[in-house]
Amino acid sequence: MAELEIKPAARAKAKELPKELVVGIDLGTTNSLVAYMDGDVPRVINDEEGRALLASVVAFGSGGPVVGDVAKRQLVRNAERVVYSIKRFMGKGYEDVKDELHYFPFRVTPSQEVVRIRIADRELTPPEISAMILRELRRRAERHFGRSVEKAVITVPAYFNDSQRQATKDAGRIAGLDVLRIVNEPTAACLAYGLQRKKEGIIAVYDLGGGTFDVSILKVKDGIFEVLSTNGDTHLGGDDFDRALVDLILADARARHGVDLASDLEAMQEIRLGAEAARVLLSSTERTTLTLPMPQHGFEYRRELTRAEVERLIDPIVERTLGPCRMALADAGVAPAQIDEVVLVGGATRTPLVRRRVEEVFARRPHIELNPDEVVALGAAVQADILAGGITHMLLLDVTPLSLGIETLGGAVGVLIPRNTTIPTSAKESFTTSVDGQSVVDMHVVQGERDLAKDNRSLARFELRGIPPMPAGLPRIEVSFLIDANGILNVTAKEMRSGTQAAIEVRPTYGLTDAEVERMIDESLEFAEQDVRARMLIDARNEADTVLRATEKALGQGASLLAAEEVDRIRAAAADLRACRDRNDLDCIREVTMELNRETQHLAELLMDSALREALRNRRVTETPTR
Amino acid sequence: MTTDVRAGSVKCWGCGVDASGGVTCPECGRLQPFAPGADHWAVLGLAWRLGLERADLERRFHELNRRFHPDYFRLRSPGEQAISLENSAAVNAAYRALRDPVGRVEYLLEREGMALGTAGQASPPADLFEEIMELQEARQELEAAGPDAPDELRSRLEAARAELEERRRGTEAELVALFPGWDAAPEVERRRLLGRMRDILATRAYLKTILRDLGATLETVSGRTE
Repeated sequence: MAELEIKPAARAKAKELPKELVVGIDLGTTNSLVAYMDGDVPRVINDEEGRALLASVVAFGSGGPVVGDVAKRQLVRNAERVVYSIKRFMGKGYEDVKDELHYFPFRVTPSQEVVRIRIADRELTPPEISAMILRELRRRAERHFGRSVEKAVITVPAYFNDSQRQATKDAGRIAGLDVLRIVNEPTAACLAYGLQRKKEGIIAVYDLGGGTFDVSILKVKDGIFEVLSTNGDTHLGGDDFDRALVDLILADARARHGVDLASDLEAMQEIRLGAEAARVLLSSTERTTLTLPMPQHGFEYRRELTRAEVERLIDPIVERTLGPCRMALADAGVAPAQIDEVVLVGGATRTPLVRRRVEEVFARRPHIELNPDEVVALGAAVQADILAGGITHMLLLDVTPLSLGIETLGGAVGVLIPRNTTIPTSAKESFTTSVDGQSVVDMHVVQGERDLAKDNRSLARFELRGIPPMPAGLPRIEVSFLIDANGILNVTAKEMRSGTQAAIEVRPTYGLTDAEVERMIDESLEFAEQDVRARMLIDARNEADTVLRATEKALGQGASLLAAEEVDRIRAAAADLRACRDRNDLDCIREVTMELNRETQHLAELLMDSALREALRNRRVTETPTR
Repeated sequence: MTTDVRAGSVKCWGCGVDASGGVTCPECGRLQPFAPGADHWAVLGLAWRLGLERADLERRFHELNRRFHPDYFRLRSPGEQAISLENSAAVNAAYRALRDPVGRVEYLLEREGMALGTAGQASPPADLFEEIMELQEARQELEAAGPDAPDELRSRLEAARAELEERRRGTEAELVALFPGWDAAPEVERRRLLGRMRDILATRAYLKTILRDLGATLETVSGRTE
C-alpha cells in the first residue's frame, strides 16, 4: 500500500520545492531588521510603509504591546510603559544594571536574579521583550513571503558572552523561531561585503551600534572568512553619546532656568530624543539649535549646539574604542599597514569624529558602500542561506571573544580555551586531588582575561562527586570544554580511573555585568601589573606548600639517616617558610623555599639511593594544573 | 591539493565496514570520527615533521573545515552532527598548535612524554647565570629604593630588559634551526635533538619569568599602569 503512494509526480514535486526558508535578523539596540536571500542577492524586508528599520521599542498600551515607531512615539507621554534599548539588559542580573537605571523611564524589580522589568502589574525579562521585537520582524517576513517563517539566524555583538548569547537564543525561541545560528555582527557585515565585492585580504570591521562596540579582524581567502581576532565593549555605543549630551543639557537647564529636569520622566525622554536628533543632524551640518518646549515648567529650552562642541563632549567615548582596536590588531598579529579594507558598521559610525579616529588607528580610509544600518542584517541573510544549503562556496570561521578557564588552587585561572580561538573548539585538561582520600572536586568555570578567578565572570560551578578514595594526586579528572559554532559553551568532566561522569550545560542565572566586561577589558590592561604580582604570590605559595609537604614526608621516612643537627636545620628552614608563606612577601617565600630545597637536598639524595626511591616516585604529584 | 588523512582506520559507526578516520564511509556515506589518539599531524594529514610551511597548514585548515564544518551537517543525523563538531574542533586545535613553531615543539614534547611542566623555571641557563644574579640584585635594590631610585639603576635595568627580550625572541630562531635536523634524523638521534629543543624552551620559559618580574618591578617603581 505504502509503495503505491510514492508516485513519480510526488517525487518531482519534492524536487521543485523551494529551498528551506531561513531569514537573517539583526536584533539591534536601537533598530532591528530582517533580511533574506533573493536569488544570490541579500535584501532587507521593508514594512508596509516601506521602512527597513524597526525601532527596537516596545510600548505596553491597553491593547497589548506594540513595537516600532508607533511605540517610540509614546515615549514622551507614556514613558513608564515604553521599553527601549533592551539589548543592554540581555543576559544580565539586576546588580549588573542598577547603576544605569536612572537613564531609563521603566522600572526594574530589584532581585538576585535576571533583570525583570515592571510594566503595570506584569514583570517581563529582557528575552521576553526582545521576543516581541522578533515577533514583529517575523510577521513582516511572513507578510512578504505569504507563508510561515520558522527559522532564523540572529546576530549578536561579537563581544557578547555566553549568557548574552543564550538570552538571545531564548528570545528567538519565545518568538517561535528556531534559531539555527547566532552570528557575530561584525562577521556578518564582512560576509555581506564579501559577497558583494569578492575581494580577498585582511579586513577590519569597526562596529559602533546604539549600545555596543565590536572590532573584528578577518582574513578572506578562497571564500573562507576566517576571523583572526575580535575585541570590544558591550557597554559602549551611540546611547553613550546621547547620555553625554543629555547630561550637558540637564546641567545647562539647571544653571539657566534653576530647574532639575532629571526627575521628570517626560522631560527626560524629550531631552533624550532631542539630543539624539541633534547629534544625528550634526553629522551632516556644523551647527543646529535645539528647541525643547517645557510647558510643565513654564519655559522653552533653547540652545545652539556646534559639531565642535559635541565632538569635544564625545571624544573620550570614541577614545575608548581605540584600545580594543589596537588589542585586536595585536591579537591578530597584524600591523595597520597590512589591513586591506576597513568596513564601518552601525549608525554611530556616521559621526565624522568616529570616521577620523578609525582612519587614524587603521591608517586607511574606511569603506561605506553598504548602508551601515543594514549591512549586518544582509550578512545574517547570507549566513542563513549558507545554512539552508544555498551558498556553498562561502564558509565562516569565527572565534570565541573571551578566554575560558577553570579556577585552580589559590584562586588563579587555568585557561583552557584562550580568547580568539577558532570555533567550534574543544579542550581537555586533567586535574587531580590535593588531599588524600578527597572524594569531591569542585570546578568553577570562568570567562575573562584576568589572572584571578574572582576578577572574571563566573559562568558556572559544578561538583564532581564519588571519586574513589585515593592518595592525593592519583585521581585523574578530565574536564572537556566544547564551544560550538554559536559561541555557546558546554562543559563535561570525568574521573578517568573510575569512569565517574559529571556533565553540565552552562546556563548561568545572570550574564556578565557591563561593569565586569568593561572591567575585563580595561582592567586586564590597567590591573595587569597587580594581577601578575598576585598570581606570582599564589604560585610561590603553592610551590612552598608542595616543598613543605615533601619535606615532612621525607623526614618521616628518612630522618634516621641524617645527623641530628642536619634534621634541626631542615626543621628550622621549614618553620621559616611557614612563617613567611602567609605574608605578602614574594621574595621571602621564594628565597626560603630555595633555602629549604638546599637543606633537604642531602636527605633527598639519601632517599633516592635507598629502597624508598621507588615508593617516592609513585607518590609524587604527577599533574599540577598550572599554565 | 589532496589531503591524505592518515588518521588511522575505524569501523564505520553506521554500517560497521572498515573506513578511514576523518572521511566519509565508502559504504554508507556517513562521516567518520578521527581514530582514537590521532595527533595534530594526523588530523591535518601531515607526515610527522617539524618543518612545516605556514601556507600549506592554512590550506589544509581551510580544506578540512570545508569538509567537517557543522554548517554542512545541519540536515544530517545527530550522530553525524556530533562528529562534524568534534572533527572541526580537532582541526581547529591542530592548526592553532602547529602553526606556531614554539607551540609545535611544545606539543611534540607533550606527545613524547617530555613536557616541560614547571621544570623550565627552576634554574637559569648556565651562560646567563652571573648576569641573572646581578640583575636580580639590581632589581631588589630598585624595589627597595622605590620611586627615589637613581635613574642610572633604572636605565641599567631597562637595558637588561631589552637585551633579555632580544634573547627570548632569539630562542624561536634557535628552535627552528633544529627542525631540518630533526626531520632527517633517525629515531635515536631525534630524542637527543628533542632534548636540546626542550632546553631551549626551558631557557625561554626562564627568560619569560625573569622578564615578567623585571617588568613588574620597573612598572611599580615608575608608577605606570600600562
